[in-house]
Amino acid sequence: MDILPQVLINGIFIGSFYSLIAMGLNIIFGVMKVVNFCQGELLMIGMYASYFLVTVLGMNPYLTPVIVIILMFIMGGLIQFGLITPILSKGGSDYSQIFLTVGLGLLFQNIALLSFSSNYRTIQIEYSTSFNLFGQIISLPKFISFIVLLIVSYLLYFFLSKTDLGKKIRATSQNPLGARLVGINDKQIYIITYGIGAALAGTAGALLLPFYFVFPLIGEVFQLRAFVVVVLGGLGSIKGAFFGGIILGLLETVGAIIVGPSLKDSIVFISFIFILIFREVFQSRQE
Amino acid sequence: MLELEVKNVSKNFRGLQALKNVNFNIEKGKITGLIGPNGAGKTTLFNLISGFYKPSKGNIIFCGKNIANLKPFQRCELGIARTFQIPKPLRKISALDNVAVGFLYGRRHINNVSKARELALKLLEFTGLLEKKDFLAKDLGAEDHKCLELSRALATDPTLLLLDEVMAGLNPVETQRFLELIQRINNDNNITILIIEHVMSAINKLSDKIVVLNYGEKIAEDVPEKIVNNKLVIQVYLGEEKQDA
Amino acid sequence: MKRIKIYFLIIAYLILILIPLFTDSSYFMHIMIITYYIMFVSISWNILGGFIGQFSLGHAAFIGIGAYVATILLVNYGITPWLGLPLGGIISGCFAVIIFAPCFVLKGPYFTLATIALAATLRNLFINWDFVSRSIGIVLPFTDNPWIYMDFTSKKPYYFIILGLVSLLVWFVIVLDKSKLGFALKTVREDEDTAAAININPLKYKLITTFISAGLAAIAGGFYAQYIRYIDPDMMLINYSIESVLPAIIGGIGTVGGPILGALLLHPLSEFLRSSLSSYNSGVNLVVYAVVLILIIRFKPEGIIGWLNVKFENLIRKFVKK
Repeated sequence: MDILPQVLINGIFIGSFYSLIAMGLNIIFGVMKVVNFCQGELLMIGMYASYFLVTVLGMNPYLTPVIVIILMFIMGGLIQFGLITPILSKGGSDYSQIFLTVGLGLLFQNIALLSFSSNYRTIQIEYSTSFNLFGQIISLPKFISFIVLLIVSYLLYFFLSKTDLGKKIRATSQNPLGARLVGINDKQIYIITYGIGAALAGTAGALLLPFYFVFPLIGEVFQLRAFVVVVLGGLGSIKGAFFGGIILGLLETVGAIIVGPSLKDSIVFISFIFILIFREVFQSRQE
Repeated sequence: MLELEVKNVSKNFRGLQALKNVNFNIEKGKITGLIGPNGAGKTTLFNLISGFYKPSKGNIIFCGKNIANLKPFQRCELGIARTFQIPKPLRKISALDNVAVGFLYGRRHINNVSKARELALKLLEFTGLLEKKDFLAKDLGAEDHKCLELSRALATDPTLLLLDEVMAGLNPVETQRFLELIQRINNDNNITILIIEHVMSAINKLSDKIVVLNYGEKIAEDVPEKIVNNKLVIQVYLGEEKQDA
Repeated sequence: MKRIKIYFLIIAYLILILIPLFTDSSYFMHIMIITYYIMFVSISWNILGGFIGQFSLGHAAFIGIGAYVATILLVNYGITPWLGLPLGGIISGCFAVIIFAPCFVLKGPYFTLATIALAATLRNLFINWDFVSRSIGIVLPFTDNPWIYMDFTSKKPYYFIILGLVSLLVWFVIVLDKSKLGFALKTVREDEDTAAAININPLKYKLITTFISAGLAAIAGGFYAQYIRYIDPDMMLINYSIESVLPAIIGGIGTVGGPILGALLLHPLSEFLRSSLSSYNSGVNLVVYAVVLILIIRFKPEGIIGWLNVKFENLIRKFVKK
């Protein structure tokens, strides 16, 4: 049982990544009701971008998120503007958007495979030191990533609740028509929102780079988990995504200890489905 | 036997009291109006009668049978049909088929699709939508949606018909047409009708009696002439209307 | 006009039946067999996703169940796949009904995400289950009795089997589309409250549809196992679920012809791209494929069958005028 604290720390750490991706998914879903199936690939792009910034430009791996955020934001905005918004009002079903993002995910994955081959790449970090906290050994780089994640999450929260733009975004997510009626340009909001969602995914990727290897299919590893988080926390709820991610990380690491690493996925998914259903039933009982 | 008895019905939603101790009865074959300001609980009451909500307290008895635990489709089987305040047409299906479904699955349980369409044709003629039978529901206008909603409800062969603001937004000519239609439905088939409406002139002409709700409570129940002169009703709802009328 | 379309379709169908008589190309047969297989799965999916509007992205699980049931019955108990396929269908249908039933309280995207999780769970469980040989998978042996055990050395019998299955399915779906049951499905799809108000129990019909859709997908899975002669839990990966849904989306969700058209377009296209482009650079074909997908969805989100129908009619009219 003395590994428990370490397990918990790992859980929180990996969970924070899930949170970040999930928050991106959530903000996109909350505003546009689109389940973004290429969120994982956006993480991958951010990760590759960070990789090249470090290896080619010699940038400090912890500074890359600054550039990545901007790049991904622009990219996300373009995607929304050019591809998604135009079909939002057209025929087909609501699921056309899901498939558009599926197609995008496929596209990004394969461009990456083409350009970078399926090799795993990683970077070296100079300061692989660790320090001691409450008797547990914590690796400094991981800790720094975690702190940055917390900062980004807080900034997002602050942005959404206190700034004008943030309020406009929240308004649009609650009632698109009402938002338009009070003068909010919903198309603009969609672009910004998708940009933010992409930026969050890319940032998660950039922050992941110091400890994980980057390869074209890394998106898939995180995407399903992010979906689980998003649904657990409540589609559209940023706070829910934040805490849900941490909880999922913990569930995973603790679950791995209990049932073994190969079955932990099943535990996670089954708990997920149960929670979903209980919550729905609970909500309708309230009526 | 009374067609419908609403007994001490209350409904709250997480602290919001939508209906409080509402009591009234409806006799078979009569038209009863249900009026009141917006938010008074009229549609909530409809939802309770048609099964989309369950009462928090009280009972709803239909033809002597307590229906509180029945799901909406089960109530349709018993003979309760309703329209929705915001019509819900089956958008990608033709007007004819919108009504045909009612015949197929309503109380008549028609099994043959062609027969159901035949019956739907006749019903559309009755309600006045015959020329638009092949239009997809999504291509019809708002008044036609309301008429379609009504036709579809009729197709299920109800004994109690709940109409939720079917005349909202209609011009005087259409309003008159609907009024006559509703009267014919009631006369020809002895269908009991409970109708929510804001168009006072129409509801006065149609109803055998009117029930008035305000903030979830029943404040009056009487024949139209008396309701129009009821001081409390005038105060909370009719207000300026009496001056125009 | 309608008659012309019917003649056209009959001729196209006859061509498909007669092709094997004129070619011995194993490669071509293979492409068509897989195309029909994808078509079958997509049509099955469309019954649940398009007709009644419940969007599952976990159908690969049902394909997998069908494959495993047929395979295990064959390998462990010597039971012919001709029985194994329908049995797989029934088992898969029952399984689907049991696990989807609680999920139907979930709305819209929540339901879809639950189906993804369900398929992922099933795959994970299979990877850890000795009885199904975990992630090693199962190889289907060859016997001396191909007609009993569906293990032909030539591709032609497989071609006709799957074409026959698809034909039956298409006929079934056409009948379903026009039937009383079809009305119920579409009503539930359009608006559940309306359905309930006209005496249609949404849950009952969702379950019926689930049974049919999952059962059919399993039959396809069983066939796939007999054809490919190897199965493993990776059959249940989400990529395969997506693959079974794409033709319906591209062709036209909820239509009878949509998945048919979509499958005829997508799989041969991806094969064509693969064979012509991979000489340049492995993977370019997938990029092009993804671009095609994105473009079609971007410009024709309702699917191309409606548009093609119109173009076809215009073409015929011009022809007739001459």
